[in-house]
Amino acid sequence: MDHISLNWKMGVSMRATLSVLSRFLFVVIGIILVSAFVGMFTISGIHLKWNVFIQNVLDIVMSLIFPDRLIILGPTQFEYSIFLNFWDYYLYSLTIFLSALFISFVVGLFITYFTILLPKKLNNHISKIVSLLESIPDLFIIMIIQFTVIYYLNVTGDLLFPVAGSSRTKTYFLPIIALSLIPAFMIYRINLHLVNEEWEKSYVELARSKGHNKTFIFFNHVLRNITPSLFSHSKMIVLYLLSSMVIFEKLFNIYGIFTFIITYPNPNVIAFTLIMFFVPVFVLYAIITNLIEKQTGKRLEW
Amino acid sequence: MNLMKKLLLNKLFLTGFVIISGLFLVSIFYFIVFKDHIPTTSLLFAADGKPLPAPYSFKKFPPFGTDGFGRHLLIVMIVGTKYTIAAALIITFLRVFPSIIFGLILHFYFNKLERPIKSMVDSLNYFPMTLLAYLLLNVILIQDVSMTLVDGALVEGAQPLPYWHRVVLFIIILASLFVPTNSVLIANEVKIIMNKEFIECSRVLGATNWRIVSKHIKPFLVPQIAIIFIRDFIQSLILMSHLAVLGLFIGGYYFREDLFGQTQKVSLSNEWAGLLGMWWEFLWTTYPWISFIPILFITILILSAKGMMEGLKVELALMDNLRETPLKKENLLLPENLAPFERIRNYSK
Repeated sequence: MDHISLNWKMGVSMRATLSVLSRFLFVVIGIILVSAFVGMFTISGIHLKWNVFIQNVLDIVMSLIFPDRLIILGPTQFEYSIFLNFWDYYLYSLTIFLSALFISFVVGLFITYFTILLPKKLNNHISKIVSLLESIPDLFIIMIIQFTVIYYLNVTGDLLFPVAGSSRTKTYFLPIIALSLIPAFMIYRINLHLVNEEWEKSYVELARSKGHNKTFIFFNHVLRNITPSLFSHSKMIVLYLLSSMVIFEKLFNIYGIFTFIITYPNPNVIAFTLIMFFVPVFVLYAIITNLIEKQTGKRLEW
Repeated sequence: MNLMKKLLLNKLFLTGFVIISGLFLVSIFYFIVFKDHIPTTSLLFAADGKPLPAPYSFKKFPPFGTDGFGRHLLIVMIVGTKYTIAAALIITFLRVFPSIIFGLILHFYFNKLERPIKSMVDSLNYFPMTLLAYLLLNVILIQDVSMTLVDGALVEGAQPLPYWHRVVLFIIILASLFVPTNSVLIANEVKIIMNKEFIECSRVLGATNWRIVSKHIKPFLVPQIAIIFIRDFIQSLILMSHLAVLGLFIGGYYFREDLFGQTQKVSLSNEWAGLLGMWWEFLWTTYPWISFIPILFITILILSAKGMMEGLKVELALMDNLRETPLKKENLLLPENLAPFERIRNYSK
């Protein structure tokens, strides 16, 4: 019996991993094609020709196989490998991205929990307000946060948190908080919708009648049941975060991968950087997909 | 139409609609009556004859004060309104309407290729759109000939395109980046509608594709497209302001000396996104309110659009409940029904 169940589990994890892997392959191909397309738009002119495109694709693929071909032109027209400072930029961006993702999920979950404790009528109103809040542009939030910190500095004379980084000092706290705010609202709204639907199911009623309180039911049953649906929505969150990161790096003066790409927009550098950025994200997704499939038997497509 | 009447009675929708059209009409009115004249204050002097620095406070020139050139900010904003709304509307239009055609073609004629095309388009989404738009437009929107050193000799870069070409290219590129995603979204919607029972009845009675599209799909698809349209309007505005922060203005820019002889980039059309990008620097000075003005206006515009969308969703959900029994909830939560960015069908209750 053990043998069979083990086999089954192996099969499950293999299947889930393979599906994530094929997804990743598609994304890699997509990134390569788009980067090659971007490569046709150069400072010296726009060359919309097939042979330029194919040349770019080949160049990118070769650079991915032999990373020492990833060469950028420095300010003094001197060529050097990108690995001189690439990992610094990369790790910095990745730290901010992953922490913002994590924080937004935790915050989104906890606000949902607190809303559940409130009476039902308030619930609907809050959901509407959050839906409006969610569409506030991220630029507005950045501006308010930066202004508040600067204002506090003016009034009291101490800088709470560094507002902008430089190549020497790195700022983490403010960008992460600002970046995770709107995704947290998004997750909250999705969560609330899912939880409200779940809350009307009969098992919740049964659990209530057995005398369990809302906290117990939320964390032990409901949360477990909504995780798959929540997870399949998380792609939207990841893409949103990624798109905002471009702006955040500019406004908080973060020396991250998007600054790197904008400074050195060679097609092979763009493709390499983005693909490297997605590796940890997909590893994370593969792990979570596996876990969910083992726990619930549901296969996730995302 | 019945829906229209209901929408105009919906508070959220009405508020959003009144705000957006009000802003637009005021701007048009100002254009017709005052020919977009922006009143400018020349250098002011204090009582002891010392010149006062140029961005004048909102206390002196209510309600918003002036910018570094002494231009009155309220008027600058009003002049920019029509360009902002018009640009966003044109971009949205170009994003949505070609997608309807492509989506229908994709569904009816490329049925076999639907899955590979969908996963390819989906993987394109992983390239951050802001970055892609920036990289493409950065090259197109150059205004000055760049000089690059190649093998020790100065080489001239590409010639800048004429002004109107740049504006048109900006709009077309910004729109076409989202056409693949939207086409797939609409193909998905069409597929859901085509699965309804009455379509099969209609087929049996001999209806052609065109008849099904025009008689049966249209009434279901139009409300969805209205929601997609408003959502894309919001996204276009956000993308425009993101690009402006990165230094790309839709209307282009020119250089002008302020009252103290320092040259600054000035947005040509005064559209809000450009103003936002231009005035962000004021946040670090003693005139922080200047940078807040454009983003406040943009936020108001976005929130009004969002209000319209929410009102529309509520009314549509009410209509759906009247028309047929509510859809099975389990069906809605299946991942196959997920649209690329947002589940449009997922009406908030």
